[in-house]
Amino acid sequence: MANDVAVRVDGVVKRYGEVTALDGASFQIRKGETVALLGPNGAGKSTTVGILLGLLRPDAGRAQLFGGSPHEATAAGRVGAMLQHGDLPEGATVAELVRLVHDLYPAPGPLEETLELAGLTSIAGRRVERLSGGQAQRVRYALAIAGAPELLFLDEPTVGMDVQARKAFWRGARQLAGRGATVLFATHYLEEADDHADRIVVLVDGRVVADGPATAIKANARTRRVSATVAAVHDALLRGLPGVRGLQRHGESVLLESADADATVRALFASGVEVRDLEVTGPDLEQAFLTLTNGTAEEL
Amino acid sequence: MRTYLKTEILRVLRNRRYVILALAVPVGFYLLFGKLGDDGRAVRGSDVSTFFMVSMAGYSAMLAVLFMGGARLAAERAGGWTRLLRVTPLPSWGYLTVKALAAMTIALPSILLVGATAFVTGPVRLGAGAWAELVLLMWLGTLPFAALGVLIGYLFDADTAQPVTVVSALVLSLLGGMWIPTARMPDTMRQIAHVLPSYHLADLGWRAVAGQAPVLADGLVLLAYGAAFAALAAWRYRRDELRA
Repeated sequence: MANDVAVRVDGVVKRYGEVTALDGASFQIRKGETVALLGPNGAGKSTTVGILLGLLRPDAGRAQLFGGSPHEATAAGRVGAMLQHGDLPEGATVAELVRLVHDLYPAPGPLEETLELAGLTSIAGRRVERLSGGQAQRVRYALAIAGAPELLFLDEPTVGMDVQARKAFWRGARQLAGRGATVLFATHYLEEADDHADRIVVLVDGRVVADGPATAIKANARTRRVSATVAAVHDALLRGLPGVRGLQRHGESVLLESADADATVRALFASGVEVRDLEVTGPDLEQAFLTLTNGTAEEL
Repeated sequence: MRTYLKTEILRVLRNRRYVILALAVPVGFYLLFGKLGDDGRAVRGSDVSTFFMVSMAGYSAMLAVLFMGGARLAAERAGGWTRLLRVTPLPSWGYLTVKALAAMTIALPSILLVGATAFVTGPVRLGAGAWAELVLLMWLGTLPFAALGVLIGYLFDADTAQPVTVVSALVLSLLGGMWIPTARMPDTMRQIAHVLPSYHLADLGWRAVAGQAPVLADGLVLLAYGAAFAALAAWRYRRDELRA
């Protein structure tokens, strides 16, 4: 159903000189979905968002919003975006700035509600140059939602927020999604993607390496490969080890896919079977994604 | 877009640098050179006070509209505000239109303030018709400078645009004969003055206060400068959009 599709990215390539930021990325988002674009820094998340907003031109491939060009969708006021950087113009108050953007859209949400959702009611009269970093971030969020857009882009929206602000932020964002808005947010926190997205698109080195529900992605992220030299007669035993989900054999060497490599290895040695050349490697996603999940564990 | 225009004007009126540089300083210069410096000599068919009132009204209006573009625009470009606006339904011509309208709006208080100061404190006495002609013509005459301000904002980064704005206004006003009447300039200087837009802006005012009919040349020169600055600004603007 083409009518259902809010976002379509089709083999998009974007190069900056020698650097290839996007290398044939493709994915779709249906209307009403909340999707996380997950990837480490430099994976091409912001470039993807930029192309979908019509701020960047792809070198190859196509990006569409609601079956038309990004420009058509933004001109019609169907899109709101919170970009990573954006100085607010000094001299204006929070409320003035939100009202400014509010009035640019054809069917905006109630102004007071926007301020409230972004947690700005108490500082509505403050000049933007006197805001803290976190407050400015909330104003950028308010500007993204002020027009009550059908499609909301959030590029690393919680960077620089403390845990409490982050919680409040997602409460507000969920409220919007609950009203049928389509949301695409970019993040390098697996936890955040897991908690708030219906679906996760994993971007590594400009390519989509995984696309699915959070549970599948997380299982994938935990999967390790255990390779060793073990005689073929023990295959049945190997399959029965804790965590093992698959087995491939090439002569003397065997490759096990395990959801819990520690338990698998422990049980393998405990079994008394003769094992040589044991090696544990990361998931079949790329090394960069491994770094990503490790980073997440440390940061949260 | 009306809300944006309103916010834009409020923003600049709250800016201390604008208030001092574009409003207070020209008024001070008028009091110093115009009112106190009036030695009874005739300049361009008026007295010194009246001459300086027109000069400073032009200088103040010029600074104000240059200020609207210039460093502010450069900063908004660099800081990502213009990028944020491009995601909203504001049409691509909307940003420059708001800037130009806001610039024209804040040129008016500049002219009125210097005029009012001269009227209240000084010996400047004009008929209602001359006042109206002075304000209206000088106001319209600042349009090319609004385009120049936008052009400066697209040519330079925020740090450079600030001094470029101030120096442009100073050089244009000096060489344009706003400080030293062209009649007292050497020939070459006078010829330079006559091709500058600042001279023709002031000339609109000087003629109005001296009771002379406006000449077409002033209007045409200003129009030509306006068209040239606007075309250059539009070209830079489009280049900026494509690159982003």
